[in-house]
Amino acid sequence: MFQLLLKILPSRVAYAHCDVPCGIYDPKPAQLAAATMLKMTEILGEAGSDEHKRTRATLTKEEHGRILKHELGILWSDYFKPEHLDKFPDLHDKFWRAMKQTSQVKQTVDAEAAKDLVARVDEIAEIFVQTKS
Amino acid sequence: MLPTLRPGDQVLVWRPGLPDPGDVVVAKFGHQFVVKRVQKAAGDSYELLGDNPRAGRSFIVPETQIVGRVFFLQKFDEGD
Repeated sequence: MFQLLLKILPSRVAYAHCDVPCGIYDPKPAQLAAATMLKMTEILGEAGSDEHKRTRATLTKEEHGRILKHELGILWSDYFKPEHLDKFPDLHDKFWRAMKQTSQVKQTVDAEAAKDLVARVDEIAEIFVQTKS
Repeated sequence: MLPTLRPGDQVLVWRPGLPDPGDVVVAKFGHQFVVKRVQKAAGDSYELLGDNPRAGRSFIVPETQIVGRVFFLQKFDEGD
């Protein structure tokens, strides 16, 4: 039965390699993580004394801070190459400051800091797009 | 995804529902589909990793980019 489904259903290729290097990079997960940290910061600002809501929002903000640093690290260490520095000489600094801002947003409940983080990550994503074209 | 999957293998993917850790899933990442195993759920994202000890990086993929769970594998046969 399954053999029949394999024959008649539309098929797509999926890649499982990814090592060495796989060439699959995307700044979107980093942008989503930064957006989530901002949303959680806003929820915390409005949660008042709702302990359960505060706890869940804090946990989510913390986890997405971890995800964001992970994703930024991948782009920085694996995607970007020395030749990109010709066009974007302050690239390392942008990554360093974005990582530091991620820590700041984890450690505080500061919507302005969270918005700043979103802007920094969006800037890196824009550089990524420009290096693709 | 060696040794579980090899080039030319075909899988069927079940779209409905959310994956559990240990499931092999197909996900959209960048402009491609990847097939990897779920390590853990992380908020509304999933951390995916290949079975190959040399698989390298893990992927973190939002739930909305999970296509579905692999539920059938047909191994590639040279004689096909």
